[in-house]
Amino acid sequence: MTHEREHQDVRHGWFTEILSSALNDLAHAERVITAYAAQEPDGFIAWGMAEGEAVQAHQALRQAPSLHTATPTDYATVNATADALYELARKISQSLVRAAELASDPDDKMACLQAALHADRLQETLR
Amino acid sequence: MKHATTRQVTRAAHALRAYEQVAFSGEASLLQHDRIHTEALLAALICDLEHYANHHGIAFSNAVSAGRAIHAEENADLPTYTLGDQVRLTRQSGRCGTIIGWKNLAPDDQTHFLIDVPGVSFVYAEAARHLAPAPPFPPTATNLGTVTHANQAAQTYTSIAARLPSTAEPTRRALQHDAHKLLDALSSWSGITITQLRDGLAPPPQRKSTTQT
Repeated sequence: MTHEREHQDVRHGWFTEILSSALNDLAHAERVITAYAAQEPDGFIAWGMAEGEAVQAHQALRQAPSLHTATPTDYATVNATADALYELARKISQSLVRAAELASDPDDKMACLQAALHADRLQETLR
Repeated sequence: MKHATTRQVTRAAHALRAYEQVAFSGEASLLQHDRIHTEALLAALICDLEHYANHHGIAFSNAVSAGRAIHAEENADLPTYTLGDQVRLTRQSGRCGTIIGWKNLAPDDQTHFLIDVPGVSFVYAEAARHLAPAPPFPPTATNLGTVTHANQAAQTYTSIAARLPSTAEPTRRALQHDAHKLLDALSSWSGITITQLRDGLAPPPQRKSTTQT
């Protein structure tokens, strides 16, 4: 029984870590893409759809009950190339699918899957 | 499927009524009138069935597992949906939307899917039997890119509508054209009027500024 409890704690620890990391990545991606979209004259044309998916992915993940006590940390720099963003979106998507597997709360699982769906679409817009 | 379930429920009702008559002989049936009584009766019957099985050397848990497995198989014939699936709500005048989650309202109760319909402020909760796959969303080319999903179209429309006031010509005209295209596509796909879509998808009044310094 004790081992099962420890195993659950370890899984939850992994889950919380992956979730927080994904949230930070999403917040960062959203900030960077929004900055690009705000650039004149054609920033919005080039980045509008990516911005929409990044915002939706971020908002979807924020619904996870396990995140309600977490606060995102600030990234040191705001610089990111389009290629780096594509890789970031791919990393986020993979992390979120993994987090969904580890989640024991169904609402956490759903938040991760919904965010992963939008992270995938974000990747599509960044191709 | 519907007829089989009705027949099965009727058979079970006969069995329960017969058990009730033996257990509470002479009294009027409370089945279908009192849920707590019915649940207690079901529990009592299951308890007696287990006594019966033990008495005759039958593994009761095997019978229970087998019965539940058959039930699950029968229920599995109903389509199941996943996040992002686009569906038609057959009880809601055939309007279409996107699955954004699901809930089991009670343990062992059927799953209710949560559906977002564009332009509608609340979320629908419908069981699979009240849903059907929606036709694919018509790919809609815009200056921002090609939109391939209804919720993507809704988000893109809202983004464009928020951006329009601060956009100069000729881009403004091009984006207005895109906004109309998206509303048309959303309306014909979802069954929601353009007026309701325009109201429901309007950007929030104060948009967070993203000015660069």
